[in-house]
Amino acid sequence: MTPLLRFQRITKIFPGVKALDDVSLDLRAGEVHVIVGENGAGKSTLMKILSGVYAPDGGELILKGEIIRRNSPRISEQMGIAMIYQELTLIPELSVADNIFLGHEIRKGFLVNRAAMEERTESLLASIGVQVPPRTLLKNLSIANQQMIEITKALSKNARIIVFDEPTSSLTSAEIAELFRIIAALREKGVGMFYISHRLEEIFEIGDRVTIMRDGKRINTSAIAETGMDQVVEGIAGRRIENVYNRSSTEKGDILLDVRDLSGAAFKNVSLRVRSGEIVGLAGLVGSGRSEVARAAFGIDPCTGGEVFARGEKMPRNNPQALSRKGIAFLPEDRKREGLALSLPIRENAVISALHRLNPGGIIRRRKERSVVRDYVDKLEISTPTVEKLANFLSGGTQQKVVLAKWLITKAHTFIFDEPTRGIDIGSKSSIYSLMDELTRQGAGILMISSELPEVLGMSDRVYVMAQGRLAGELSREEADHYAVIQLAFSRPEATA
Amino acid sequence: MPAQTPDFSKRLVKTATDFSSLLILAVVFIFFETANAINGDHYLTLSNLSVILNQACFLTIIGIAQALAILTGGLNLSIGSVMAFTTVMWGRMLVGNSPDNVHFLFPMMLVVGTGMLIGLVNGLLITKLKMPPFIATFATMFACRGMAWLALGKKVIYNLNSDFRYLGTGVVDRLGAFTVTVPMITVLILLLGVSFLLTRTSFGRRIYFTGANPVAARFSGIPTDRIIIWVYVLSTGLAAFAGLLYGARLNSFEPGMATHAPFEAITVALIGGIAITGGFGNIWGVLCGSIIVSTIYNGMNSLSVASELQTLVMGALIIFAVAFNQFLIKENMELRNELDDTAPQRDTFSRTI
Amino acid sequence: MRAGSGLAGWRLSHLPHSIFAFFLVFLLASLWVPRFFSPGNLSTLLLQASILIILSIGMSLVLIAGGIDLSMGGVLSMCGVIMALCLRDGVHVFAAILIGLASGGLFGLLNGLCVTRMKVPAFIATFGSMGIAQSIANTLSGKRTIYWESGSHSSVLDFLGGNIIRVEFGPEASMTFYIPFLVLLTVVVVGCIIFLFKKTVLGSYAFAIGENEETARLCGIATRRWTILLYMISGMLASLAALLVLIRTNSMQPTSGDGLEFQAVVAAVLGGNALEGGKGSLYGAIFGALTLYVVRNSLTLKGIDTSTTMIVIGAVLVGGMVLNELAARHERGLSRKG
Repeated sequence: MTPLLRFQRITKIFPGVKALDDVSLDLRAGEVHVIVGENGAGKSTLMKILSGVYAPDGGELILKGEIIRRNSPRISEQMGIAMIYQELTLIPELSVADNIFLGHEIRKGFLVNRAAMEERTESLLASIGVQVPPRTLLKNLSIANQQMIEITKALSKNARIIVFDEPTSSLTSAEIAELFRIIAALREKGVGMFYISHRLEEIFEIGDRVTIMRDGKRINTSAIAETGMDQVVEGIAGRRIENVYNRSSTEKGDILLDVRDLSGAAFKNVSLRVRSGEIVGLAGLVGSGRSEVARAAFGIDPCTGGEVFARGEKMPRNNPQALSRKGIAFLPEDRKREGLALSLPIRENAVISALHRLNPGGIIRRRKERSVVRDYVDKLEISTPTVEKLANFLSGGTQQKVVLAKWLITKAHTFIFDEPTRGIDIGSKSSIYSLMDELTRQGAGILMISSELPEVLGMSDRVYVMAQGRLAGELSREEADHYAVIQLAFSRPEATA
Repeated sequence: MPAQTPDFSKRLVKTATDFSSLLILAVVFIFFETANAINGDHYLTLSNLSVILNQACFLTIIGIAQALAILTGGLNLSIGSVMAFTTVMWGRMLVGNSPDNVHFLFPMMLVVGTGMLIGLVNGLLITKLKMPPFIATFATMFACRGMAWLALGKKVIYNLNSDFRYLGTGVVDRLGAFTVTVPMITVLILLLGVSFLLTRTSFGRRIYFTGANPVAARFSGIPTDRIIIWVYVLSTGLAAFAGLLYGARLNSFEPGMATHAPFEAITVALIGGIAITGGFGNIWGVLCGSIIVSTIYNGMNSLSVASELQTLVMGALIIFAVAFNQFLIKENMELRNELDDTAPQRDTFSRTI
Repeated sequence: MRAGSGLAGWRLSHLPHSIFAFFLVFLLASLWVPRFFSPGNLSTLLLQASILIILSIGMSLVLIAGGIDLSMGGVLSMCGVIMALCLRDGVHVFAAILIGLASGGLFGLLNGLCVTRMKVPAFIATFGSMGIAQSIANTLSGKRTIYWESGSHSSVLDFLGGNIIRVEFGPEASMTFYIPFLVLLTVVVVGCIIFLFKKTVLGSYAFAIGENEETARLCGIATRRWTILLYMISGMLASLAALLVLIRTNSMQPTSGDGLEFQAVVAAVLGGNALEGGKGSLYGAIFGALTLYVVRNSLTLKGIDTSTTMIVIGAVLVGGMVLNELAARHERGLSRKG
């Protein structure tokens, strides 16, 4: 049987990097082909060649036995190839129907036939069991619903091949189950699917075959049924990883961060405490208000009530500067957008929060600055030839380390990590975990917000669980297991309170 | 490590992109020199150079004012109107036969102070009301121009205090045919000051960081609102100062003066390599930019190009300069990255710029 | 699945905020300014605002797509001068208008190419071409007002300069209500653009490009071509506005368009068009332009000179932005609770 699609010895070279090196891969009709690999392994580049965003420098793309000579986003779409990206590609100001048919509207002459589009939208939505009126403006839908619209959009183009690029990163468990139901339905229809994910548990649930990529090369392709988790992890990292979570027991000391009855737009009356020497997990479903609490506590988002104390001292509202000067550090989830100035070098990024400490009087001491940054680059094993390298050109894991260095230089004692390892490859992950462990051994306190349950359970000394904008409960390390956390995350604290 | 040829050529290209404004300047000089040579004239004489530099002084000041705003990712359209309003408001105190015997420094301080106050308004509109800088400074541009007209009507303040005029027209020294004027010295001091502020102080670092990524700046504990407000206070205050210089040279203040100043300032700053997206650029580039613009004006006059056509040239110039600069900035960053990767010891040498 | 549908989800706040601003300003002016609410003045107001309405519609199209067109004023002057010169030299009026539209479109094309191909920020590109257009206008006209002798070739213009309706409520001029053909022309032009915007892909594509160009491209939209088209429409609207100026004044000054691009930005922004793109409304821009002219008109009637008017425009802009921001906050608040 000829496969639906075949990548034949694809090579792609970017200035200075071989992004894809002689990659051959095929996709059968009606299968979910999972592709895993670290960031920069070449997964996204491969998919962009499929969708015609990039042209390969060598090799061929073969669709149903025919070599594709010219490709572009438009051509690939006409060939029935659809992409579901990490970031949603929908337009908030347009209606659901307009979004679904964006770029390939049903026309009547040169006019748009809205009635036909709305009718078709309704039937498409019904076919995957989603109920949304087609005229609703997209901005009025929840994220999960928006994703369903994205899939519907692919279906509307009669897609034979759908690529899912980290589709679950912003979905709740219930919504993920819904997504998987739809993927299963698509499999029945004979659609071939590539599925890219960092969440390894997922791939065993949904995949048929798995391909591991590393450094632009295909390492291995095998049937999921014959593949073990260890094999995948090992393949991705290129070495055997024992246990990524190595949490040592530490002395718990004074209360460093004390959040009392904090209320904001998405949460109400949340109280949290972080002691010196402990890692406190903050778990909950996406949308339960975890990140929002942390952001409000740090003064980024406005809050409507409650107080925040740093080392017993009351902090002013809406003032991240005051908190950072009092030794609270915030490591945001979206490092590129919220953590770093990408056009500036590592050095300037690393010292930005500690300028007042390094340069009393406001005059920069260049020599001191450079030596301090070099120290931390060495300490954190930041892999860079020079501290002058622009942040833009660093990998995700290295960027996270630079953000961490930024706060270490301020001599912060309390670290709020928002999804510390999201989008980071396994190798860097374990080194970030050991850094967190090291920090607490030196007396720091850590509040860790995470969607990855294994991470929460593996690293935390204590776990707060949030549900629907309220604190649903607190678990000690002994009490905290999969079951307990999930039970709390799905509880309805409002009803009981 | 021995210098390898590909590495060397890359380094050469990178150096060229580092000093792109200087290259443009050289091209402009050569162009006018050749064009004048055809007519049998000599363009690049010392005396003409001093004329160009003297004219560039005003452009440099408003260029710096604009560059500061652009570095934070903003824009200051109020520059010209502020010049008009502040000088018209206090200008009477600078008239030569003014009855009240005040020292001319006093009204000067009032002018700059008023400018800073308007800058405060700009900053507050941008940070507290979350207005896009374009709109906010545009509103103050309108309002200031209106107030200038309201304050003076269709009159002109002229015959200014001669001590004050020295600031705009005074001669410090003559080096052969080259005349060193007071504005040149003023601008040099100003450039040194601003350059120090931007590259050697915490405040400057925060300006760049805020411009490069305002969200990350907030997450890093930078009081971005305060930084932005201060920058607009400085920028608009500088504009008012430029107004003084402008008036001192022309020996008059009038409500309709310098209507094109904000745009000339943008041209100068962008040709000088300040990135319109914020957070990137070197203040010395602004000096280069202003000399380029001043040379082009001067050169077009030397070739007797009609003034109507000069706007056309400037319009085309700004488009090409920006397109060129954006290309260069991207190239520069990538080359820098490659060189960083190939030369591990490089950061032991301090970067000069 | 939460979502409002049809009328159930309709709220007053969904209307462009400039409508409220307009009615507020209109009411205040009617109460306070003696001759404001008279048939004659309202007719004048409509006529005066027409030019800005056309410009602000073009500006909104470009703003929605994430750009800005600062060349509109310059292009207006340039196209006006070109058309006037054609008329002076006896070119037939339709040919003259076509030449004018073509030059407007050409400048739009130029802007579009600079923005899409040379990747120059729209603000800079159109600012540069503003200078170029102004320079052409000044050079061609020799900085003088251009007149032409009306004759058979320009009879259409004389006709368009007349009124469709003229109702006299009293003997004085202020009691005469009239609707000139120019207003009708404006209504037709605006109607056409709104029709294209709503009933063809133009509107969706403009929103898509303004929201995220990369996304739009991935959806298979030829973003560059559409962006260029939008700039061309804006350029042609500027030349249509020039035609209006031409007919109204029966002459053309090379400086007619100076500063109009900024007023168009003010009108569009008052109408809820964001400079970041992906948001906005054409109706909003129309009411923004009307609001601006109600303010100007009533200040003139009050005998307040133009310098105060400038201050007031600045204030109206700030006020309008604050209003937009408050409304947006209010809406966010509602959607959170909902």
